[in-house]
Amino acid sequence: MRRILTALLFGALVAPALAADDIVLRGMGSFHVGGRIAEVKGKEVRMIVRQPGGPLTKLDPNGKYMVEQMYVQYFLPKNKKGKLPLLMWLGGGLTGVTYESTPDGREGWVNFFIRNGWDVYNSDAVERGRSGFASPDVWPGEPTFLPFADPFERFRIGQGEGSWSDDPAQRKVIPGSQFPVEAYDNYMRQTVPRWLSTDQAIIDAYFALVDKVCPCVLLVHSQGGAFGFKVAELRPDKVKAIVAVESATAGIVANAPKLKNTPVLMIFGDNVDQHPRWAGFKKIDTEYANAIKAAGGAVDWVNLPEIGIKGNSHMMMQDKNNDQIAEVIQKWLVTKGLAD
Amino acid sequence: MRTILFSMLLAAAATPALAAEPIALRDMGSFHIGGRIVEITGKPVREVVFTPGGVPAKVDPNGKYQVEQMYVQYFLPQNKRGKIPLLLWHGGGLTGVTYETKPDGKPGWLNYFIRAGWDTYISDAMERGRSGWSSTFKGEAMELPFNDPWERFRIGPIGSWNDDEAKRATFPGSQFPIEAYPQFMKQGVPRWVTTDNEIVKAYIDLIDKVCPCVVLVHSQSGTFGYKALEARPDKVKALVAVEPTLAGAKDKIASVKGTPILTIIGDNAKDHPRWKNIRNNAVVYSEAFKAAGGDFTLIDLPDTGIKGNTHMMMMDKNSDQIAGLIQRWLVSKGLSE
Repeated sequence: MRRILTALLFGALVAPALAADDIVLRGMGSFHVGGRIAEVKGKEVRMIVRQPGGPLTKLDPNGKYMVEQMYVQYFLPKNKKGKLPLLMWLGGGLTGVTYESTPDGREGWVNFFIRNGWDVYNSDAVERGRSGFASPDVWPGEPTFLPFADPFERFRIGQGEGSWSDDPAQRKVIPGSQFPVEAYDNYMRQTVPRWLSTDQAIIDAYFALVDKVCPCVLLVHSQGGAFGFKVAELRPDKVKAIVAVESATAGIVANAPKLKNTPVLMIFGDNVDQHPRWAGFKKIDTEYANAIKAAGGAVDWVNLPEIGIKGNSHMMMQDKNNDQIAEVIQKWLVTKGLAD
Repeated sequence: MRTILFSMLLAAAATPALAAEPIALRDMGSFHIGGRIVEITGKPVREVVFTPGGVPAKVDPNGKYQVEQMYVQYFLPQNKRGKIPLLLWHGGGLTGVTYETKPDGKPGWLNYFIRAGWDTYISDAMERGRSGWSSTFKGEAMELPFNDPWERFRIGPIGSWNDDEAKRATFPGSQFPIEAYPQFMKQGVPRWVTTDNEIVKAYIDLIDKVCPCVVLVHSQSGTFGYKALEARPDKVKALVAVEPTLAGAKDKIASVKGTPILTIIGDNAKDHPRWKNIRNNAVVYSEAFKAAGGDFTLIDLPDTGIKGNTHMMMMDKNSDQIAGLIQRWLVSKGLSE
């Protein structure tokens, strides 16, 4: 008994001290928000084969189902310095994994912003990842699947169309690219199917999240930008700042004045103007930004190469210098008085 | 011996760290593992209307795709006490969310085992959640109707479901947080029934990456846990099987009997038309395992005074009590300080 007690006390005494780079959390967890119960009626009872070679069995698709909910994971640092929660919204065909470890195994922006004292809420849009998806009886239209080569050319990793080759040695990477091309296959493992008919359901769940955890800061990427600005237009009192990373279309220009009290940071990477697709998004975002500014709002615009940060792809939160870009965002948030 | 073991396992729950204390991590992150690149050829280019009322677009499904990978998230506590990593594998139609915050908002087993000092690896089985899924799967995805788990997971007895919440009956003393049942149903994801081999393959890839380890499985993943153990008996150092729906292969016991196994079964299972068969399979397997000289502990929770637990016992109100039982078993096997 005495020995056990001594061991217990000793154990407590020799518990290793916190290391400087430990992540210390006052809480972590997850939840689903939003969603509705959908009823499937009048569908034919079908006979299906459940296992290849197995017997035909009856499948009755009629009934009630929980659909269109959204998964959110949160991390609350002990040393809180961000004054509001930071919500991270992903781009099309991806999940919250976007902001976790990078494809080459380095720390991503979730860890960066936790370490900088932000209460971080990282979600999977409706239909993606841990949010689940509804059956064809509930959602009309089909999902799309991203071919292996597609983002290499489209996300400004390779030198545009024709830069992909099945042979890694033959792939034409943009010179000076910051994307960890050796881990491209790991990046493709992060992709999930995407519907094109579910925007409203996605936005509804984001509203549910904003209504639950905000006032807050939104950090949005790509397709998530279109959702972020539309949600912010209808919740301008709750969205206190927006960081838009290569927003692929923005909000509704006529509604832009509603963001006159919400500071916005727009960030674009390298090689944007040479790429017709991205130059097009940049133009749309510029028009939206101008509409906010015309109404008296504050939009800061950073083209990374213009501040000496070169080679960034559309997936800059996974690029080799992802910390450098996170620093740009962090400093901007501090200047807006949103973090100590 | 059996009595001593039980009283040890059931000793008042020594919470590993007060819930009010911070969780200090050496590191946290995620990765995908496994999978393959598949080429789709010879499919017709189709006209698809993506958005109802929209203009049809040509879709060429041919090409190469990444498929069958698995998502894993890990948390490495600063005060490490588990001697090897702990892998949490969920059941059918669900994701790793099973072990995260419970539907009623209280901390789940993920936080419990991190606080107990385990390097914890929590994954979404291939095809589910953040693992993604592909058009190459055979057959159709199954969706779980809203009412289905209520009776099947022993929240209420057969015939107890009612669309009117006020008229739903539970088993007496049910530990499931029934007010949070809709929240539980939000955790459900579609499930194929043709993908077992690919799921197991990704789990074995995970074992090859992070083990030796302890594997904790639930329900459908009991099957996967046993298959993984049989494929890598030297790397799975202990198996905790929470209401596994299938046991291992009896003809492979000789090669896996060096791995201690704990199986836990909740309340109202023994006489349940579905669960009594599942339980019997576990009992038969455990007897054969022990007869071969293996170390197998099978616990029926109600026999030890823990009543009212459903199939989703990691979400039940007394989930910490059951986690404590698992933790003490792991300590008794020398796998944690």
